[in-house]
Amino acid sequence: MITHLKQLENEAIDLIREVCCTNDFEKIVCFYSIGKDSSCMLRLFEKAFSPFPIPIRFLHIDTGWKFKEMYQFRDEIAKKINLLVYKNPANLNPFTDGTRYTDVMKTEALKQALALYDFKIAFGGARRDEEKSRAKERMVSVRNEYQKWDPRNQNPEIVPLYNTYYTDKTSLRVFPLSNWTELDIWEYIKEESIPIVPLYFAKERRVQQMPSGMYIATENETGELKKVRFRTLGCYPLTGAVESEAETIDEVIKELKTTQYTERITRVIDYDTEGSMEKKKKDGYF
Amino acid sequence: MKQIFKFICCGNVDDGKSTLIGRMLLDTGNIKKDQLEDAKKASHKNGSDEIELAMLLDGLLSEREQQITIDIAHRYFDYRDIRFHILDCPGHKQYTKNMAIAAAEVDTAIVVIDITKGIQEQTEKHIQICSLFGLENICVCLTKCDLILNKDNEPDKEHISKLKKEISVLMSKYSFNYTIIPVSAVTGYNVDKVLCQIYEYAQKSYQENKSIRQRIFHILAAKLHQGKRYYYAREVNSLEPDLKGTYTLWPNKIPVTVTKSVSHGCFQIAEDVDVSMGDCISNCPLIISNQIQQQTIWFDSPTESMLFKHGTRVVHVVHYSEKILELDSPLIFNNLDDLKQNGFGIFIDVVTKKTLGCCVFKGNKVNDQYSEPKTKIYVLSAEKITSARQHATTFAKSFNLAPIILDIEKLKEKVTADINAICALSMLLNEQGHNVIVLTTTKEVDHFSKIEQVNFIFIKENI
Ligand SMILES: Nc1nc2c(ncn2[C@@H]2O[C@H](COP(=O)(O)OP(=O)(O)O)[C@@H](O)[C@H]2O)c(=O)[nH]1
Ligand SMILES: [Mg+2]
Repeated sequence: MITHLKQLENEAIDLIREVCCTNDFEKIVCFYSIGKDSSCMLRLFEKAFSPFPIPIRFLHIDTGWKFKEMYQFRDEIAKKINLLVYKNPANLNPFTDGTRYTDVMKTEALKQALALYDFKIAFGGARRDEEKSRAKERMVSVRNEYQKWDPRNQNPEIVPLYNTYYTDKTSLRVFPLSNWTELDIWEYIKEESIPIVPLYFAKERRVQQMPSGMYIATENETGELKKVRFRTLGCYPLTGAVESEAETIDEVIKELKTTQYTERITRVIDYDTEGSMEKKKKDGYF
Repeated sequence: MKQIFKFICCGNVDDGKSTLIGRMLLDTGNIKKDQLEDAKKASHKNGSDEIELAMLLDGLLSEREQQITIDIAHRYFDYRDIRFHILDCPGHKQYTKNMAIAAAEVDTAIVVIDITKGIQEQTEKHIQICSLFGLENICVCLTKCDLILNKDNEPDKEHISKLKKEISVLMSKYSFNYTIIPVSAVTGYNVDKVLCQIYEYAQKSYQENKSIRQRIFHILAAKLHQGKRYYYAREVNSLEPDLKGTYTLWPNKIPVTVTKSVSHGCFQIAEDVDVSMGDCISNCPLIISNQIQQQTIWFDSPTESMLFKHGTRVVHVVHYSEKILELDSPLIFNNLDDLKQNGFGIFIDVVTKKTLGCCVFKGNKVNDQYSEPKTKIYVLSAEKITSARQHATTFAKSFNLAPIILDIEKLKEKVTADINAICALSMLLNEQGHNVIVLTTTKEVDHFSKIEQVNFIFIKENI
């Protein structure tokens, strides 16, 4: 018998293969966010097609506001995969442009990139346990011609009889990690020795405390020095750090088993209003 | 070592499904502080002082506002050595299809019945769907027992035993293995018993799976790499990693030897055989037929032109009637009662690509005479050229072919060549080492089917 992690891996690999083998590789892309889930996706793609190279392209939506360590990591990864990088020329600023920043630099940018390369199928590393509206998401999810998600207009999905077809008017988002939890991701990273950005491990870093109590990284020397790590990675002004002593994968796993909070609390974007992630998803956000 | 166990929670709307699951998550320590805070806020917004546990699950705004579950919610919790994956189903009649989808994926259900309301139309409907999809175990939870307390602050025994009797009458129509547990999700009464019961079902399934020796693989693709052919397949019930051994290749029933399993679902075969997407290899008997006895649940109305998907095989529907489904080429399958995971398929509309229905295979006999005609002609029905072209390209890629696609209509428009000239061209291209794929119409198919050098023919309209 195989472990639950192996079952999850098999399910993900089967889905990746099925979608890719029944469609034109040129029309398929996998989003690459530089984060831990993306790192796992990359490994799953490698395993799905080994001994052949990964036949599809990856896409990073850059905002210009990611952590330095993330860019360094991305540039290393780019040597191994076929990675496209797209940045919305609008160049908004997270400090001054508020919620418009996410809409334009992430959601809009994503739609622009999909149109530019004429991608019809986009893989993503989203998990159902991340957020309540994601818990309702299909593994193969249909988007309309404006890239919007309509939760009431989805295909009935009976795993593993996926419907991998799209039309002139629709496109697909595919989520092989749907049934994984944050802890599963970390156990997989450990089991597979998957490289990840060092920001996930605790270290003394310059941070600034927000009114909500959360710590945000600062790029200058004025911030206070705290031992923190990041549970999720995104644009540094929008990503909260947590105080932590976990310097290794084993320590992170141990910490996660006892933590009182979900990783969501570190994402400023999810946190503004009730149902905000659902609204963003309906607009076409990943 | 942890195992995954999937089950559904169903029953009539408002009988307390989401609340019960919320309680199970909470009691097993699988709810974090911020999730609880979030649910509290939402409960207050809806005018409740207490925390509504259903708010832990109902995630869509429209669900929270209407206080009903519209779509299946997937939730996970770890309890002892099992990872439970719950599918919380909508109870509303309008969303019965969502419940049916969930039932297709599992062997076990919790069916909730509000003790103050008893068995409802939707309760019966859900139990009937559970039976259609061959579920084995049902844990019937009589919810809201805190509302029928007697003087001693205990749930009224008479009330419970009356409902129990009604349930056993209903259940006698079916062959489930079932238990009935009175609970209250609000106070937590007997919720531990429900957990133990589900845990027991999981253990049983784990023991049964251990003894499964049937192995069935649906082929996805074959690829050539440094002179070796690799096959990619999806296993019906993948529980063991290694698959070396002898199998039967379907539909042609040729014995094959898997010599090496490279990774999950990727292997090599000793014999030099022709294997393509939609074929099967198995170590057990399967049924081959294009006239299938079945029962279908429609999510949408059936349409004129439909595809049918089972395993990795996609074929066209020729005719659908309530009992018999006729397809343009055969499926390789089991009856649902023999092997659930290989016992159903889905209808997909050719034009909109929507999933229209789920079809359960029942009462089909093993037919030893059946053998598929060997052909290299693939019918593509009345689809547009673009999708035919796409299909041809994908097809060629799965064989690692660099294809030359001859679209006959297009060619005729461009060069004023007649059909014989095009035939000659396809031969020439093949001799130069190309794999030639012809897209043509029924009328002209004969010209090409005689030419050995044409590797594949796709026809653009229905014969
Ligand atoms: N008193 C009481 N009320 C309950 C109990 N379980 C659920 N409810 C209430 O019944 C209503 C419907 O519950 P919900 O879980 O949303 O039902 P669902 O439609 O089956 O998911 C809500 O108002 C709950 O608060 C229970 O055990 N006791
Ligand atoms: Mg509900």
